Amino acid sequence: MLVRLLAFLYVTGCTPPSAVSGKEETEDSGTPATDECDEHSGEVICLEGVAITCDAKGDISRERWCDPASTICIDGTGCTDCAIDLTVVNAQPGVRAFVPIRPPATADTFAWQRFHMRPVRITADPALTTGKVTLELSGTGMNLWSPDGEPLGTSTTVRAADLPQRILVEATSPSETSISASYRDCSSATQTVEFWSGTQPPITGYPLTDYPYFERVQVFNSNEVIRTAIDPYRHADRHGLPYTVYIVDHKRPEEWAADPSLIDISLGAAETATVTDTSVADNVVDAWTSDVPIPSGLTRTFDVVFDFDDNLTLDPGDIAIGPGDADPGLTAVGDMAATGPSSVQLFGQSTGMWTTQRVYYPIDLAEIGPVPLVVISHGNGHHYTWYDYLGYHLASWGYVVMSHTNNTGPGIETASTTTLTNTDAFLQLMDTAEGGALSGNIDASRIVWIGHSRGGEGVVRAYDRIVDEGYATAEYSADDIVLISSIAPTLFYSVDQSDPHDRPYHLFAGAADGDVHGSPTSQYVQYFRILSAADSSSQMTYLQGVGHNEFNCCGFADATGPALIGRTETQVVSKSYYLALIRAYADGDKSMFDYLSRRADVFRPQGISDPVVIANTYRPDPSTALRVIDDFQSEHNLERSAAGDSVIIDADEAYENILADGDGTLNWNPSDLMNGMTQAGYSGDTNRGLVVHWEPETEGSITWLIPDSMADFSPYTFLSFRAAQITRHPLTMGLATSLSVIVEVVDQAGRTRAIPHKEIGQVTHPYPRSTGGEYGWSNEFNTIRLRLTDFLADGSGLDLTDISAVRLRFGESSSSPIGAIGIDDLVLEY
Amino acid sequence: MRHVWTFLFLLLGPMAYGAPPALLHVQNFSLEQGHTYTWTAARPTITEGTIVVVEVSKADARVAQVGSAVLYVGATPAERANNGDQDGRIIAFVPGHVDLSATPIFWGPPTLPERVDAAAGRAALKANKVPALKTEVIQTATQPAVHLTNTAGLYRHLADLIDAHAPGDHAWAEGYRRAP
Repeated sequence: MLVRLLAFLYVTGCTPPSAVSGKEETEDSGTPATDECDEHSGEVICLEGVAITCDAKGDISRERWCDPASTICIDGTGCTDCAIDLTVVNAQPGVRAFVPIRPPATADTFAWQRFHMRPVRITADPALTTGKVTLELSGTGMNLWSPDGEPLGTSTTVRAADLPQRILVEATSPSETSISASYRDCSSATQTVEFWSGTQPPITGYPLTDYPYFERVQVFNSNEVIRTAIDPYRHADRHGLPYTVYIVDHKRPEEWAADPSLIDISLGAAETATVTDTSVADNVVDAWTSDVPIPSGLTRTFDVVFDFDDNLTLDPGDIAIGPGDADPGLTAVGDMAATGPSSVQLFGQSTGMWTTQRVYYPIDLAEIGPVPLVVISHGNGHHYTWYDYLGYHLASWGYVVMSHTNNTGPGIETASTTTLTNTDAFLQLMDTAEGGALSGNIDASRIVWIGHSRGGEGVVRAYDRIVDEGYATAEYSADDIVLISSIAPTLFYSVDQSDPHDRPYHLFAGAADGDVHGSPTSQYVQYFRILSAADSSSQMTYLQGVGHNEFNCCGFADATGPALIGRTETQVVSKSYYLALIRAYADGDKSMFDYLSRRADVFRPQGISDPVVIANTYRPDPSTALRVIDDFQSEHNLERSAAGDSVIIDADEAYENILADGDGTLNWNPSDLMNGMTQAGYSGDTNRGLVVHWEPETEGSITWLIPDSMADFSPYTFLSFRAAQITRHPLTMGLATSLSVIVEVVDQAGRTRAIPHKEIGQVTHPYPRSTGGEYGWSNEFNTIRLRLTDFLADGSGLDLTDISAVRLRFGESSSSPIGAIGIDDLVLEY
Repeated sequence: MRHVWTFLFLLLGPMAYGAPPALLHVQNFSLEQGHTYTWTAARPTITEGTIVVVEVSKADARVAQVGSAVLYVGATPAERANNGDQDGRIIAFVPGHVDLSATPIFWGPPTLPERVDAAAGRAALKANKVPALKTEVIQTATQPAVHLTNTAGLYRHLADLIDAHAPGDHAWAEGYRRAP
């Protein structure tokens, strides 16, 4: 009867008696009911939410009403706590946990993608052995997986009897979501844990004194300290948790799946740290402080793991960069100016007056081939034997190099012809040359053309002749040219005729060049125009204190200007950058792009002396790798951007036009605001840009409003622009050093975050070469490239999916107090 | 000799692009197989020509990428076989058998020889103020004509002249001898 009463109260929602667990509690007579315990002596039975304990005689010894909000009655056990507990592994309770966005896992990739998922532990009272727990994921962009690789979608059930269990949470797009666990018969047992997802940027880099306090990169010179940093705001769920930094040799995904054990190989023990809740700056760890040994080859690749379990094993819930990816988490690069591992053999061959060649090849070619072919086309008055330094160097690193007689005397057309015919002649001879030593070991689909001076224009002209004029090659096609590089090229033709078209293009030049000097006084020497004409990826390495002939052994001394670095140092630069370029474009070594894309004042090949001033630009292929905010070309209005929105300029002076010096001299003329620009100005040139200056004690800015159609910056990796100080401008002269500004990003909610780029790379001061009583040479552009996720550091709250403006700020602390600069190509890079 | 050149240069004024070359060697040649002469816009195929070896200032001989004066024989840019800046000697040739008593050798305006068409060549010659050489100079320098087979043979002959007159450019001579 008591049971029936309690059941009634339960159904009607009335509060049950306060004491239901004592057998003395009876409705009427105080005599225990005995019928329910018949045949259950010594057991606990459940009857409509009441746990009845039967004694050995089959009488009720205890009755207990199980509060349905938090308990459930289970036969044999009685009232059992039915609360479900969800715990995100390696996370503080109650804090939203971060899940890195990854490519969606599949049955085939789960074995390694799981390392980047966040595990959630589901537990309950061990006595809870009946029924099922339902797990539901709200929102989109995340999925559930079972630990053994079964995709669970956004909802699943787990038998209570199988608890405790784990599930894994993967993120495939930006989202904020939660997992709730509920138990059907226990209405208030629902538990929820929250997640958010985003890009996990690299965890290695360099400390910075200003925001974002850490520049995140994955390529280091082997003689640099390798540091890691965890962002305590991105990983707020890990505050206070200890972890160990493991740098391990890079493994393929399948290898990680098979063996997730962690063996730190940095010299000394793996570093341990604890996530502090203050700033990135307080979470920097010196992970590898001694030189990184590179046993063979040029690079050594690693993966980086923050082990939060301290179990010496990579498993879900740790933080990892590299495992599960084709690309390593970290690459250390040796001295690129040092001789490579292969011994080099040299031979000469000729099939005619202008097809005489010197060939350098690694003697172990048969073991390492097929390898790319590097063709060197010398300049006027130069000789094909003058590039031994480069031929031997590149061959020692595993390339076959051919330097040929180049008919530069008549001009560019003949030079281009000799580049074309020598490439063919070499390929025709390669099976029989040198007793067949090269046969089958050269990949004719990976050809690099390097030309110097007239030969530098000749290689570009040669490519143009194939593409535009139908020049018929015999042994190769245009697509086989994977990189064209010009050293101080002339430009006798228009850029429509000497046009690198769709090929990756690189320009090397020296600011002290006494021949092809690059100044605005002659159109034939304005080589930056070729760079402007390149349709595909383009990069420039511009060296202060370097003349025309330091790039070979024996050309006459023409260098003009102060602080000349000389032939030896120039060739260290040449060897280093050419090795980087060829590995990047002919071998697809992605790590080498860091030497092209990061400012050379803060990151350069380790063999190059610090005093060497290098201006460098990098622009990835516009057709596939970037989106333009403003290139100043498709929209000529100063107050409109190429992206189609407004540009708001707050500066002492601003001017937009073609990037051409207005009066043909470098001397300062207030009416020539494009002074020193040599990027355009002649037939076929289209490159335009903006110049702006700011006076002392004034602050200014340029704001590019972002149209809604491109407000989502989250698919991109970098925000970049290129800038040059205006040569001989009084403000440039007044600054007298490198220049930096502040880059700010604003989202639709009005949140802003600014990064001073001075520590990430500055805009070089023009080379102080003098004419007419003034000093300063042609304007030197430098690409400034900022990682977009750095704008999120330390919990900026910026919403990269909804950006409203990009702003350059001038004249503030943490940037140059005065300046006059040209700006071009404000873009987003993938 | 340098002082004489300097004097003449100053005398001839700014239209001169270098001191007048001095003739050391002149030699007609003929070829069994034609040679494509690429140092003019017309790019003729030639079977005979005139080799000259001239003494010039080392500075004038220096080969640059832009701004280098062009060595003319009459209205035709000469095909140079060496730089000449090591020894001050240039070995060059032009199409046809040229009468140097009526045809001056001079430095013309900087340009790419492959861009010099007939009109440009005539303009350079017209602007030139260097006189043709005296007969006795030519006679002293004249060598017996040679008959050669082809371009490679011609350049092997030029290689010998390089070694004889401009040994500092031996690398060029070596290169020419490699051609089959």
